[in-house]
Amino acid sequence: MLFSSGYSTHESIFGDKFSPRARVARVVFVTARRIVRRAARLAIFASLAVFAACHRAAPMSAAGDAAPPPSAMNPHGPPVSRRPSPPRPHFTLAADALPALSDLPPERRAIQIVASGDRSGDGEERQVDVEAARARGLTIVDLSDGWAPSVLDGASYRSVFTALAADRGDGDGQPLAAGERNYLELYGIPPALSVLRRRFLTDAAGSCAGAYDPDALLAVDQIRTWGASTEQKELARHRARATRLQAARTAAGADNLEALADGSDARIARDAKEHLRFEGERLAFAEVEKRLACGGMMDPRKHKPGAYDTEMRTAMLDFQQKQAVMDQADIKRATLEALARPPLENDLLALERVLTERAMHAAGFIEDGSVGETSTSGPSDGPEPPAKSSRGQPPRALTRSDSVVGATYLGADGTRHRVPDLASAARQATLDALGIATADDAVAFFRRHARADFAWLKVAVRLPPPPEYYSKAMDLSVEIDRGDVWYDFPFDAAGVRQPQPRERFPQLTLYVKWRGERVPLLRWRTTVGGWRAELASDGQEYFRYKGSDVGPRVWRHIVTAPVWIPPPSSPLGSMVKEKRVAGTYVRVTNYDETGPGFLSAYGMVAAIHEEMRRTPDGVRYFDNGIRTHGSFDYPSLRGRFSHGCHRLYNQLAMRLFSFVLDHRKSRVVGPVAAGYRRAFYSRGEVFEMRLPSRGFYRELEPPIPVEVLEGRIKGTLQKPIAGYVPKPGVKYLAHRPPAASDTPEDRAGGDSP
Amino acid sequence: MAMLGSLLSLALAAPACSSSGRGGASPVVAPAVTPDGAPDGTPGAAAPAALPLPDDLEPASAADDRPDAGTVTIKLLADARRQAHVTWGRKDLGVAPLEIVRPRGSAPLDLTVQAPGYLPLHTRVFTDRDDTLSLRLYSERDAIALPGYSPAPAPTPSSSTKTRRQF
Repeated sequence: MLFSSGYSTHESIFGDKFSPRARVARVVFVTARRIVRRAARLAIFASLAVFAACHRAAPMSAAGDAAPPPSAMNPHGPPVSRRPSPPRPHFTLAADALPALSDLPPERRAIQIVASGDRSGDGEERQVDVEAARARGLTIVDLSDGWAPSVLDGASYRSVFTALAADRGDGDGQPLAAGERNYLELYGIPPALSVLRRRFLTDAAGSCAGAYDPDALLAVDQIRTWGASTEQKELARHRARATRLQAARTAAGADNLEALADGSDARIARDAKEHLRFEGERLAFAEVEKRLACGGMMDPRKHKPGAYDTEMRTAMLDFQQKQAVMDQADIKRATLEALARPPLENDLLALERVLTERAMHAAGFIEDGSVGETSTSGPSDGPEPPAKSSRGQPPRALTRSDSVVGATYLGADGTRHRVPDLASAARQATLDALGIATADDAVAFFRRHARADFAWLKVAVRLPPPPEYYSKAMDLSVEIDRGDVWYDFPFDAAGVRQPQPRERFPQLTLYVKWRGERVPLLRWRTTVGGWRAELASDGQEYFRYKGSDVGPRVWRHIVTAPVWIPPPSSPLGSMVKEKRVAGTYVRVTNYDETGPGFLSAYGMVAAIHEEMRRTPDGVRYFDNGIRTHGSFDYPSLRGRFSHGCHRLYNQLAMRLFSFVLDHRKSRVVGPVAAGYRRAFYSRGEVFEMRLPSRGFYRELEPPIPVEVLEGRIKGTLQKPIAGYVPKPGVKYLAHRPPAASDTPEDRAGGDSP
Repeated sequence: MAMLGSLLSLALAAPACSSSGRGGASPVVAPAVTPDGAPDGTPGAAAPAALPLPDDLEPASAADDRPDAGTVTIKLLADARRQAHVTWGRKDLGVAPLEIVRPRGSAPLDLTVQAPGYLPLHTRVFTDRDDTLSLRLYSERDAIALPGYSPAPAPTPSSSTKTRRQF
């Protein structure tokens, strides 16, 4: 099965003789060995699975009214845990256990899992009163499908969010087609618990048990992939190289290719190494095909074996988005590791991520360990001179009364305490409260709960106490370090692109002022502006430096489900899409980029950077189009440039602004009218774009100070070039570029400000 | 043989488990097994690794967790003489002027308006509040002023025989 001819369009010369008889013998031997190994593995896994099913599931109380019986589970089941000795769940402490009540209305119900008291070491699930749990100091973590981050409360987009998370609806709020799935965790929408339930129970059926070889997947660091025509050429080159190496091996009298690879002829050695590497990748590729097929991600009938075709590429993207791997259809190490893991282990990781988000929001925590180990100077630390402040001066010396103190804070006891990683602690506490330590436990949990339970399900959790600097009115501030900044035009006079390497990347740090010190709570990667192509008013594209404003600003408004108003210069090409509407496919205006929605240029939540100026009429605020906002464009956070805005991962942006609203005084402004209506023509039809609202606004009282540091200016220019710069190699109709507009919307530009 | 042994041991072990008082159908279905006993996850096999799922695993319907927020009324205004026909996907909503009543906050509706002598118009109405929308229809001559306008190409003999794309 492993050597199915369908997988290898090339010949295998992996360390064997080249005669057909020898190759057949080798294939038979290896196949037989793998079958025996696989059978042994299957027998061990199966025994473990059956043992686990019998041992673990029985003592748990059947609280779920329609919980499927665990007895017959998974006769061909895969290993649910590859850990040699599975950890044991901790359950709710006896001191926190509340009386079991069976007649509570759904809104008053939470679950607790307490040790059963017998020698089994297992837990017993019970329903308890939410109010009693809160009175006991427990936190209620919402596990229902109706959950959404609190920053979405009040916004009409909330219902779209919950429908997306539960695989019920699309980004416009329309129902999904049967069997259609949203894999949107990377876009900031973690799957609902009922979606995870489906994954666990499906994967517990074990369709992938023994279907692929994880060792072959992990034997390579990546699998190179190409487009269709290049792929054929690469495979042909590989075959030709194999023929050459066969002749070389015969001539050299070498036993195998490894000997050639270690030989003295540099060219042949290089060829042999490349051939061995390619062979390993092709073997792994065959396992990827099997893994995607057994997991139901790819329909083998639509896939050409051995080719990275559209079917497989789409399946790979789905798989990566399902597992929150950011490889974007490339098959790199993170993807290979996710593919090699048993499906239930991937499900457990997804559950951990989801519970982390739920618990952090429930507790109103933000510290996630990103401020790292104790340091004394925050993001400015490093081998190079520290970043200049926004005023162009080096940061003043730190003082006792107003210092940046790294990841510690001064406690009431007079000693320094490390800023905790509350994300890890909250996740572990929630898992413990649910009695989940292994994928087995999670399967048992989901077997106990029918889908209907996820309309109300909540769990009472003993979370770590908030640090003493927590309050309803925390003295928060934000610092954005732009990192290394190049103002130089990135092409030379001959039109050759010039490298502009950066060692330090932009970072956003949230501080709380506590006992006279600025204590960093989180430090996340973000983006700053740079050189971008932009459509000018003459209809031609130019380069323009779209930098991020430097200096003191404030966050005064937080906008949920923000809407980006496209400027008149926006290209129309992407403003129409085809989609299914009420049972048929039609062309419609594309609101993806404008929002509201997870694909919006401003993400699912944004804070407006406003410049506070004192005028004779009092304090006035100016919006220059810069925001800190969530973004679907997660790869951009790994080193690309924005149009000037500071992007965050959507889920982190929602976590951050939910936290801010929890710990600052604010008032709800509500939907702010935009009244935007624009008609345009496309292929014989007229399309209207209507944007009635700019989003759901809240106003912080007082605003949060934001300091944008200039960063380290690299290269020759110390100030950015204003206006448009012609693109090298482009012939322009006009003698000189038109003037560039500087309205906030124009500054934001096209895709993802 | 080892694999056969393992399957045999599984076949013996599973009933032992279900006999502990938790018998009944498994909510999930075991994978397809090829004649040689190996689970069939091979690309190129006759069928995908489909797992028949019970209904209980599929997402709950949209109404399950949405509180009843009432309805909204959307008025679409147009000169009745223009016979502006409004459709929402497959659904024929009638001739404008008309009113659409929808659950509040359900989802925006992408509508198509077609009237004799005018270009098809695509617009969107929202369901978060009552709304009134005056439909502005464009003739081919009006459309010249619209962004993105380009004259429709003259039909060629080959293209004239093509059937218009059916949505």
